[in-house]
Amino acid sequence: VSHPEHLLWLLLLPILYLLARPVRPKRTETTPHLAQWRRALARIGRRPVRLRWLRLLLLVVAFLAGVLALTGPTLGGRAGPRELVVLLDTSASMAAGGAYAAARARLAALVDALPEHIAVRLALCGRDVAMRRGARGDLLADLPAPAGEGRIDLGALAAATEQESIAVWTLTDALGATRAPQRGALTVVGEPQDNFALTSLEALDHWPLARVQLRVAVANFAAAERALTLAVEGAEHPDVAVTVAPGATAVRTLELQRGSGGPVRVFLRGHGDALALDDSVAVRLPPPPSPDIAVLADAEAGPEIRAAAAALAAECGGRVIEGSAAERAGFLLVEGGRLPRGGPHPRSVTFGTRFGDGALGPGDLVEQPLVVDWDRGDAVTAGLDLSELVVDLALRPEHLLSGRTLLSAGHGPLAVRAGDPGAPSIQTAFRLSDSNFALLPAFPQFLRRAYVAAWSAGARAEPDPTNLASAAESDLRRRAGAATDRPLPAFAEPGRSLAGLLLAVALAALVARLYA
Amino acid sequence: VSGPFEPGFRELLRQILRRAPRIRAARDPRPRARRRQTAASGTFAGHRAYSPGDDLRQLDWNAFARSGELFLKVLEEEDRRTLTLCVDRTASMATGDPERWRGALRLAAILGGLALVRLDGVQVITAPDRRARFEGPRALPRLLGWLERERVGAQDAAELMRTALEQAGGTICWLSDFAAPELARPALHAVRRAARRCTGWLPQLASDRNPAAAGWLRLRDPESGAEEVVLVDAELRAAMAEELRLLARQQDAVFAEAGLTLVRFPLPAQGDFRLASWFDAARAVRL
Repeated sequence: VSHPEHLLWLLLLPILYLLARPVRPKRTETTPHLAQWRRALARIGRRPVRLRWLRLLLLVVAFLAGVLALTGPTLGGRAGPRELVVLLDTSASMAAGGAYAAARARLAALVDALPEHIAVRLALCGRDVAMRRGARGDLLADLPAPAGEGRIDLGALAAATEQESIAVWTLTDALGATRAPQRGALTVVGEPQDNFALTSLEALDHWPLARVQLRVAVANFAAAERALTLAVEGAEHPDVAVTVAPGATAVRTLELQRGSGGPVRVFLRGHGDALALDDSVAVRLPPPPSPDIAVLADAEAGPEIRAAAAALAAECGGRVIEGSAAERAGFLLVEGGRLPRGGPHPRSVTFGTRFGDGALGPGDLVEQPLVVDWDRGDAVTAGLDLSELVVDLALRPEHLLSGRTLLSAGHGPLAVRAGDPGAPSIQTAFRLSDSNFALLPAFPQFLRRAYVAAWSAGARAEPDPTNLASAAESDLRRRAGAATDRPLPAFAEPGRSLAGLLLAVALAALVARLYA
Repeated sequence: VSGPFEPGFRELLRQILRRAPRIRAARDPRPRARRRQTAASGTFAGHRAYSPGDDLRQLDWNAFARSGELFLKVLEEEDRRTLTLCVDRTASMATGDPERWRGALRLAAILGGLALVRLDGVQVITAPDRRARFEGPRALPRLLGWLERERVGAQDAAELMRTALEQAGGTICWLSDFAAPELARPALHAVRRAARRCTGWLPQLASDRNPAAAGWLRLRDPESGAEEVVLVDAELRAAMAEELRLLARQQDAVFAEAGLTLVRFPLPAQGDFRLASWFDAARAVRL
């Protein structure tokens, strides 16, 4: 019986009895002529209305036979699995030494040889599991190439899938991160080989500055020392020679300049490699922000502001432009003067600049304010030493924008951070020429941090998600767990179906019921 | 449910009895002294041919010796002018609308009343152990009271008639539905052998001619308790009407075989006490 759930239809048997019961008239008449009524019924060929047990029995027989036919009863045949689930290892290690091609050939041969009544499902086990079912011709069409780390626990999957009616067959190389399952049929393809690989990639991006560091690990999964070459594609960098001891890993840091951004690939060159998928890693560098740094300074400004702009442009790979082109600049440095009341330019640092049209009176200035403290939690001023800062003349706090106070004096804030948090402006109440700020060691760091904070919402270098970078997957030297082939079990063979016979019995019972 | 003899019926009965002298059949021109009836003992009146089932004690062996044929001696004795009412009290009588049993009791009251007025008396028998004799017009209330107390029950037709033949005299009026005519045949043949006058009275209902209305119907036999469920339609109604006609013919045939008469009296509706509705009963009486 293949579908015992259809036996639930037998619960309808009482309904058959209820339907077979004779009508219960509401009217009852007592009559001395019952014999005449019976003869009248016989005269016109009618039978008395009553529960006819033979007709009910024949109906029940027909119903039982029909229900049993639905359950798919068979006679003979052989018990065993009626379905095959193939776990095909598609991890990157299968690409080594033609293991994947061998696995596909074995799979195709078996699928062709299986009887039609055996259902086949194909589970592609790579980074995750992709299940295929349907026509056998479609199962093997457009199989994906091996890629990624074998993260699927084939043993657990096989144990969870295998049932009395479901056979599991695993095709794997049992290399790298993959473990051969302990249950179900097993076919191991491929052989252990020597390999070298880039097993990790770490990008240290100083964006929006031009400097980028790529830290890569080179592993040698062989019994002999390897002399390898690290090369970079997509950025200017000389080749790096790397010698790696047997079974060891060497870490190298590559210093790159961002340039215009885009993909950068680091790859290994050498002899005696079994797997090409793990010989390169890629990272996408974000493009740099607008490299123009504009300077606006009034007549009283000293040379410090321009020198600071030039130093910053050199560090981020940009250039200094005139303040008249400040609208397209990526960063703006202003000393003194007056700007429109609409607020500061985003991504700017102003030194002693006023906003609005009002005239400056003696009461608007503070002479020799005493620097009290600075914000040690803000990214711009954290860790800086501003204790030597001396200010001769500063604007009163009323001339500062509202925002986070970065630098405090006895009378109030001396510097604030205002505007959009993603593109902030930093305003100081004093000019560079009225202080010794430009002479402090902390000043270049202040400017650099202000520039980085101005582009804080920018991107970071993103490693390519297709990078293998897995030491476990690239190690092709050893077999993981038991790797002995196990044959497939004997599949079920269908017996002779009794459904037709039961349906014939049901039909015969119904026909007999017509004459009962 | 009130009894069968409501005030309306009692008034009707009085009207019928007042008109009794004018009822032709109730007037018997023969002198009372000449009324005779064949009986088991008495004066020899003649011979009649033997029929199977006749009492062998009445065979005239001398006549057999003379002629070689079997003859019975017919004896004649003076008979008091009485009427014997045998009322069928089987359960089948308690059917129909109006109930046949109530109609039979009323018919018995009319017949008994006429007998009390015109004859010497009346005997009423509903069972071998349930019989009563009434004489004179003044006995009419007692007759009605006795009939009123009667209830339907088990009864054997042959036993009833044997009791009537042995224990009562005069004309026998047998009130029954004769639903099973074959069961009445032995009793009627016994009457014929005893050379007694007997008239069958069948209180007839509308359902004795026309079957029930259409629709699903459960039919129950009151005596056996057997039931049948039928779907009454035009076809079945026609077949049943034919069966009822056959039954009527069987009833007539059974009486005719015994040389007796069966009178069908259509029962008026319940509460119909008009003289015209009941007058046929009185006219059909031959005392």
